Amino acid sequence: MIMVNNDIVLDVQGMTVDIETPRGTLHVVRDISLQVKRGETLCIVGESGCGKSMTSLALMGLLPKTATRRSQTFEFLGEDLAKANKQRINDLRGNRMAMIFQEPMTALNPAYTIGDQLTEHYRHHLKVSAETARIRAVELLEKVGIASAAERLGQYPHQLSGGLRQRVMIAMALMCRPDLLIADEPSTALDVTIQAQILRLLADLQKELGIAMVLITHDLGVVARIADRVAVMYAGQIVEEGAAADIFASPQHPYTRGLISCIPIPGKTMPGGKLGTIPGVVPSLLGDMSGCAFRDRCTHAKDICRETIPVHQSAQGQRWRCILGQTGVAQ
Amino acid sequence: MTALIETKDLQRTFSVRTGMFKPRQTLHAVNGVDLTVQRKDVLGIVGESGCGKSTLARMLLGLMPPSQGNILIDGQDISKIDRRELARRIQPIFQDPYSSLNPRRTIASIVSFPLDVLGVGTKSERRNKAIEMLERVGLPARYADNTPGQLSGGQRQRVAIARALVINPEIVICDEPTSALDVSVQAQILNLLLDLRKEFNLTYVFISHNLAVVEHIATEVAVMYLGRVVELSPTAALFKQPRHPYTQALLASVLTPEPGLGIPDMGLGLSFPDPLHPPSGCSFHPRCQQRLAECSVQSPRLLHDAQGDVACHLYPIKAI
Repeated sequence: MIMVNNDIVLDVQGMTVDIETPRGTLHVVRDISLQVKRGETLCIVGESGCGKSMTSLALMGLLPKTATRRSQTFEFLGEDLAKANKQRINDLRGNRMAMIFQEPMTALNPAYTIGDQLTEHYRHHLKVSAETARIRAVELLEKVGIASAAERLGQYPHQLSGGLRQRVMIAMALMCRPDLLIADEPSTALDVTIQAQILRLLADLQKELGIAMVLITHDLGVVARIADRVAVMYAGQIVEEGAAADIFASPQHPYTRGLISCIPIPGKTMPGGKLGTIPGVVPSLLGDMSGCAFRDRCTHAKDICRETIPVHQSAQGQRWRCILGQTGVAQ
Repeated sequence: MTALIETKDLQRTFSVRTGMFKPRQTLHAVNGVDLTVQRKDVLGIVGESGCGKSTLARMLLGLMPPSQGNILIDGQDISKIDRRELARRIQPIFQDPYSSLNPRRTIASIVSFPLDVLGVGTKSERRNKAIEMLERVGLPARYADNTPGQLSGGQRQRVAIARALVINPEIVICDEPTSALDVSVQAQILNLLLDLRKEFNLTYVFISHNLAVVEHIATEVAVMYLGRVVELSPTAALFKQPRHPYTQALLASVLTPEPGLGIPDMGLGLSFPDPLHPPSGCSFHPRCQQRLAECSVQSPRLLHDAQGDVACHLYPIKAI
């Protein structure tokens, strides 16, 4: 009998996503492992094309038809989802696991009212009356800080501002009291002032309701402020992972270090001075890859970077995939 | 010395219809903007979407006439400058390098196009000049006969920069030039823009919603809110001591990669006001944490002092 750890909401080991294209197989996600506990926020950070959005779709079972997902372990609340049938996944999705998308204008259906969209999956999953669902919708709209919530239910998405639409998306995701929330760039399409509000709201609700959250973003500023743990993705792999404080205080992988040095910080970086850069471009994910995907852009690259790269681990549990050990020397 | 760019009571209104049978309404996108930019300065313009910063950029480029007021370049009204002459002096770099480059033309012909229009030299001279500029902005000559579709976002933005600089303009209007790019590419483009500014003695007007980027590149910053400039100061002073409550809120909302600081609460309320029906008095008053009784009644005057300009009833600080 295997002991089920109730704290671990999502446990994914060795997940791979391949997409078949006319030019060959795209390895968009390559052997990644993730664990998220109840009440914890894991941020997946990376640049465009690193596979972070494909990871989020794979976790939700929303991959396009041309993509295939494989994994050693894919457990949600101790249940093996890799073996679950379509019906079971549909029961969980929108119910126990919910998702917030980047662009609330395209994620909401323009032809239905806010009220219809908020209550549809709630009524479907929990088999409750329209009135009960409406009460729950008003309660949640109020929770996400929308005034005159009852009137809002009759409105259409175009009648709301971008910030309000994203609040509606959050309310919708929380309707069925999910255990896992996946947010893919939830604040990227918003103005800076609204962005901070939305993130604050998400962080508060996540702590209050004890949800396990996976937040996907390209913005290290967002990561630093909201994450408990961080996974840095590059070319479909997690190259570094650890507690947010450790990652920012002592980044070990050259890519993480490069990313952090690229960002101007008022009061810290010298105005008009040179920012750090990462030379070169992201490699193609087409075909087989071996060794370190970052080696062509890395200043520490050596011949052994073509071979299998070891994963190092610090005493605090920070892990990185590089030939360099903690002191920065090759081992 | 006359300023290189000067705007006087610049206004732009749009007539918009909110529904098929509703009457037309007037939207003040830019509402009385007075700015001066000295040669070799970088004026950063920041504000939320809908504050009028892109409309201002289009007017500076001569792409859109002001409804009222005027724009002077070196003391000369731009409405009286020939269109080609104006294009020779002021060039744009836009936000989205995917839509600002013609996908059916080669890189070399995109970059040499301004030279073609101005009729500079022979065809092969123009091509050589274009390739020289491409190499200067860090794009190897072997890309000259590729089309934009074969380049990455950062490479495309380099093409846009080369096209803007190939005719040696004095002023470059950068409208969110790094917003569509990844952070590592953003850093490369910012470094390039800073180098080019020194090398070609350029003056930038740099529009961005990212205050950290503006702090890095700008020498002066104008903060816009609903079509007006509410604060204008040298960059260091503005970041050290923001005076307008809106500037303070904007600065507080910058999420720098410093863990442990949490997510700030600026108390700005839920949404940006409707630009069609701007609030009375100071248009920021409904979201302001420090509002006074007169704020909802009277528009604040622009105070001009040693630190810069600020339009807020809190200033000048009254002695009690």
